Amino acid sequence: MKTFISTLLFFLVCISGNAQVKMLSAQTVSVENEKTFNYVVLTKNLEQLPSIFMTAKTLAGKEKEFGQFDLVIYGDAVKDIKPTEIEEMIKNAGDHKVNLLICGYSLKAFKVDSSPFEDTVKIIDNAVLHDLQMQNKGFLSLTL
Amino acid sequence: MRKILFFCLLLMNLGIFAQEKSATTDYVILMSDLNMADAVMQVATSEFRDGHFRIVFYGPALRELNDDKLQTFRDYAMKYKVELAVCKLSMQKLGLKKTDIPERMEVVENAFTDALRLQQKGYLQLRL
Repeated sequence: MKTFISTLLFFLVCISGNAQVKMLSAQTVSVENEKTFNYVVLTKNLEQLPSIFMTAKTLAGKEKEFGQFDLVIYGDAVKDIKPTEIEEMIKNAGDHKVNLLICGYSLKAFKVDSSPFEDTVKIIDNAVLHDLQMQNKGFLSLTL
Repeated sequence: MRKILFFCLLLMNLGIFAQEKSATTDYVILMSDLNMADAVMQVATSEFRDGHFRIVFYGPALRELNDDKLQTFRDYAMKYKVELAVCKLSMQKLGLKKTDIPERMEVVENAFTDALRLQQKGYLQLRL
């Protein structure tokens, strides 16, 4: 009886090990099949916005797998954002499939009043953290 | 014998679970803009960070590494085991000696080569 039980346990362990390996490889395959290209771009130069917008629109037009394009304005560039132009900037971003974000850490560091932006654009806590988190999820990253 | 085999297989199974749970991510930050130094350290000391965290300084920023305003940054780096390195090429270009660089900072031949080498090992990279 003991021999029977130990043999049974032995086979169960073998089967569960195999099943785990197969589940892991199946997950990898399904992730590859569902692959989309997502991007995160960090910029501290507002003059680059038009070319970044064009890039996003081109990618969105050419790639069936185009997913998300996050553009984060960080560093001293937050000082150059004019509250009167923010709505047009957001509209432009939306037209070009860009998800426009502003680094909250930079706003604080450069003592920029964030109240004119709060209702119109998403303010993230920290551009560095956002970029690394997105890279962790598989986003392609570019810092300008 | 069968028991030994059984326990070996059991350990192998547990190993698969352990591999899944212990996967960590390593990071290398190329930094020439010290305005973002505290933002980087915020990430390095947060719960988000679970692997190696390396900051490689390059460019004119090297001149400011000894500034008092970076004292807290350097203290946190030591406390949270953040690896700090400086680019030798930049040092040469700026005419800086090893003594001009804070202690415990590693000198690497080339910041970009260092970051690319680490990316080959799976590190995530960010240039600021």
